[in-house]
Amino acid sequence: MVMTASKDRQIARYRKERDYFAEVYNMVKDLPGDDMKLYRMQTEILLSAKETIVDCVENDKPFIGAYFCNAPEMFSAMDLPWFMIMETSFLSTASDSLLGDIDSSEEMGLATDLCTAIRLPIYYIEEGLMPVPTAAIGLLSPCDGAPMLHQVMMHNEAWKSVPQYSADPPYGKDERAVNYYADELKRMADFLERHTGHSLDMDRLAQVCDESNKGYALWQEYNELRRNVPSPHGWMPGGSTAFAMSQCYVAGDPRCTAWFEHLLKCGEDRVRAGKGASDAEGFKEKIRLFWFDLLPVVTTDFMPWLEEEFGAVTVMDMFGNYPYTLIDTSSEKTMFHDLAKRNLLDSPMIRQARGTAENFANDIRRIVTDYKIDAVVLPGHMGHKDGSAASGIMRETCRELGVPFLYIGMDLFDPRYTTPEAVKDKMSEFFAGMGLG
Amino acid sequence: MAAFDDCIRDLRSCVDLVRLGAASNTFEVDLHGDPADLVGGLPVKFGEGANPGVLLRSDTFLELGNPAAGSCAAVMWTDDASLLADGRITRVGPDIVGAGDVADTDASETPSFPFAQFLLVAGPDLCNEDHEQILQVQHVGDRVEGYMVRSTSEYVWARVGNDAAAKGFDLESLGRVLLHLAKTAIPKATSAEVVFVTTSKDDVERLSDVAGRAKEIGREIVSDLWKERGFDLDCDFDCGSCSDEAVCDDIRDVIVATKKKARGTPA
Repeated sequence: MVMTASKDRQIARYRKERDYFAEVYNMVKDLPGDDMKLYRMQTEILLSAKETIVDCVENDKPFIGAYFCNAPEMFSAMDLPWFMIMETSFLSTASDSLLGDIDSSEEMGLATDLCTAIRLPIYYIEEGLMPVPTAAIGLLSPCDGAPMLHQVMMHNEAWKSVPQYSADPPYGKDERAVNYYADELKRMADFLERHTGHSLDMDRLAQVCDESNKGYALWQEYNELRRNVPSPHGWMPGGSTAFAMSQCYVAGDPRCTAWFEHLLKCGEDRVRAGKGASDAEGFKEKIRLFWFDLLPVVTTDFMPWLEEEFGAVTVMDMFGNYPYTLIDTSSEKTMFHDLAKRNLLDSPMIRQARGTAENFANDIRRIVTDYKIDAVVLPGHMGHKDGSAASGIMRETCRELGVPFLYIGMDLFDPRYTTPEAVKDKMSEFFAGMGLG
Repeated sequence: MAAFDDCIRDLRSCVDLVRLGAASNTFEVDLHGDPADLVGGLPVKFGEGANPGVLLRSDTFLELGNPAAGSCAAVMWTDDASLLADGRITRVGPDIVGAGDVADTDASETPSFPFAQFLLVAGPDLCNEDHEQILQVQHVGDRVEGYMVRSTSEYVWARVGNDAAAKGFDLESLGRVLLHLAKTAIPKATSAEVVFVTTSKDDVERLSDVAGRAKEIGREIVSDLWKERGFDLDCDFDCGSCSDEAVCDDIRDVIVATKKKARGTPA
């Protein structure tokens, strides 16, 4: 094992994250209660994911950089550790340095209208603050910003020798498009085998996909519970956490399935008991929200504020949405086909912003109706220009459905873009103006 | 408006083939008269909020249309009333009552039927603007006690509760609800027909081809409607071809200057 100063720097944040989750785990491991068990299981998976990456870097083991929508079941089947290339800015321990990092990224000359979630990893790569993987899988959709990040990867001194592959996403959504993308995923498997020394065994892939299906089926079942009035959970747990558990850490892992089983149990218990999103005294669900994007990363008090101040519960968000179909594991062909469909047509953001804009309208229509939504909020993250461009379609759809629609215009990572106070003012005025609160 | 006419004809041929293999396990009824009478004698409550909560796994008697067991659904509409048998409900395959004997229990923990549901609507004045409303009808919502359509983007995947099954809720009941909704929620609808198939996954997959084509036609209709309203679902331009590119570039410069000013560095 040879640890250089540069490697130390690359994994400094992952070590910090690992230590943070180790500490959290030690704090919660003996605490009683079903909700605490859910959090403990989640922390254990997160801790393990960070430990794995640190171990790979420290001991020169193969690992890759990739994304949630790169069919991560294949990485699990290949026993290939991976981290999300854009995840550094989402690390729990990154919040202390986030604003300084954003400023530094601008000082590098990066355009301020480039999505902050892309600007930050560019900065981390250029500053040597991200682990340099054995190989990298890129992302050519849903936005033009991501390929810019890959261009940086190709030119950075430490990264330019890292082999890269990006599956080419077609614009359409028919069978021809899905089959085309399935071939792209096969090429991705060949690429990974060639550059990492790990091989893809089809029986193992079927096993992982079966396990993944179990988790997804439980997630779908759980989401039905959120249709209940009151919803058993709000912005946490479930929602975006379910998305992360299904495809961001270790896809198709029995530990994630167990987490979903427990999430479902917790949800069912709360529905049977008539409990809403919060156990706080006097809490009552008054407004059911559909938040159509990522949840804000830096303003952690915002979602609790909505619940406490207005009884406004985020019943559904873009990442908690479940539009998936299960993977048919009967043959290699069906597996690649269904993985292609899941990663091309179902994964959040990719689903809405990659091709035609109809899914923005269709998702709103289904979710508002099925989840008895009182108001739709499009935060209008500055990087999600695709979403902002479709805001007219969303507004019209909400108008047809008779449900109020709010466009905010904010940076989910940078509270200076639109301050939390301004966002709160906007929400307050919106609720008051619409007679909701 | 004949966009769906070929699909309706193909559906008839397909259902006839499936019916041949279903032997005597078929049901057909023609119901005419006031739409209110269609739901008058239902064994379960009907109306807005009749099924206010969610149906938990433990309270479910049977699932219809779990994709693992086979599932497809579509709506088709036409201005040619002769293509429909108004008021007809057709079931090919087993019904909800007695489902425990024949349901597929491998697909999930809950017994599940393969399920195809087709809602056909006709009216001389029906037009593209009515399409989305007709689409909504097929999901029934929370209007039937003990019956819940799960929230999926591609299927009609439903649950029948233990209590509803015990009260005698069956596919004729569901068909009556769909006919009632079609005739009341869509003012221009003069006739409606419902077809259910529950025979096998293979049969449902055969019908999926017709359903898929109907959905594609529906997508094109929706896309055209958005275009008429000034919204294009397709994107065929980029920054370089946009007349506002210079404005965007100016905004970028302003943001940089503002941020520098806020940090106290010279603009």
